[in-house]
Amino acid sequence: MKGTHELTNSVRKLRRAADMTQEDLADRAGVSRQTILAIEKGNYTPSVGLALMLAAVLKVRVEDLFQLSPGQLNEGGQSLTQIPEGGTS
Amino acid sequence: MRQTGAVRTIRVTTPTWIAGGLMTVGILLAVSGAGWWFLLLAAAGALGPGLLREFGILNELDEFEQEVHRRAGYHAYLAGTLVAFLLTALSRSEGLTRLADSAITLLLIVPLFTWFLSSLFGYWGTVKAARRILLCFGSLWLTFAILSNTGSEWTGWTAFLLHPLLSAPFFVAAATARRWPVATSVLLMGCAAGFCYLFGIFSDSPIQWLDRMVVVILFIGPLFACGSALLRLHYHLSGKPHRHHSGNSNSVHQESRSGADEADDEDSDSD
Repeated sequence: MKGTHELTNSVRKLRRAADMTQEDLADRAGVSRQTILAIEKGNYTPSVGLALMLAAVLKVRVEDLFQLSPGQLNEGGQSLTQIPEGGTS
Repeated sequence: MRQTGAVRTIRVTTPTWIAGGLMTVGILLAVSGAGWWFLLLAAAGALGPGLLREFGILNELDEFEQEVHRRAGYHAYLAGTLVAFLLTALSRSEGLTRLADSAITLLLIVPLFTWFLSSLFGYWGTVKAARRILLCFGSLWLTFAILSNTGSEWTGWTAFLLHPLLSAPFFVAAATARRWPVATSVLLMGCAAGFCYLFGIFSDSPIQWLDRMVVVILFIGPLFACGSALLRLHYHLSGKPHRHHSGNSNSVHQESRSGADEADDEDSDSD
């Protein structure tokens, strides 16, 4: 779909590393367990606010939780790693 | 890892309970002859929470649940508008001055039914929702088939064995949806077409089958909805890039192969 980005996420892995259940994470992030489940499965991409909240609860950075998929990075023949500091190419 | 106790599989909020109660009471009072104006009670149940949320009075859903509701609303708009166009074209082409009673019922049922099914698909995920919907409707139709056994032209063991066969596609599809989503969707679509033929939809004139459409939708609707959702899942996922990130515990490649995207829903929350 135009304008959408495929993401991968490490929410489940980091939640387990923090010894939390989906219910625990949901309660502390102020959402339903089904929301955590949908995020972990990649069925739902959370808002920036919720992503920051999840990162804060799990005590990690947002970038550790969510990443652009490799296919997205290489789209158009340009990798994000090629973009210099400051964000302009 | 800690173990959780009883885990909720769906969050039903107080406004949802009230809305459901209003809808049930309203519909029951209306169809039981107390007065069709009681349908407005059902309308309050169906539309009330949404209106209150739009005005910011009700704010009990999280962002994922709001997204599911918005998406279901869009699907209901698509289905409802399609039916409205079809009925308008039908009535104009047939030179009808008034729409049949069944057509008006159809205009009411299709958006509500679509909204309900779409909400379930959005909330649970395609495969899990398809399996639960099929099991639920299969059980309903099995009960109906057994209860309607008396007074039929088929009697005895033949009737006892043949009538429940109508609900067999629901159970077979529920069992195969996870492992073979494409084959299951083909089976469901085939069954939907078969039941259309059984109900005489292809043989009668549109005016005649309009009278039977409400029952047909309640019977064929779940089959068609689950079939198309499983097919959509397959084609949607086959267009996605495969995920190879080591940190991600779920693989789209795996999902598109086996339709197992929701396969571990139940056990994943008890880790």
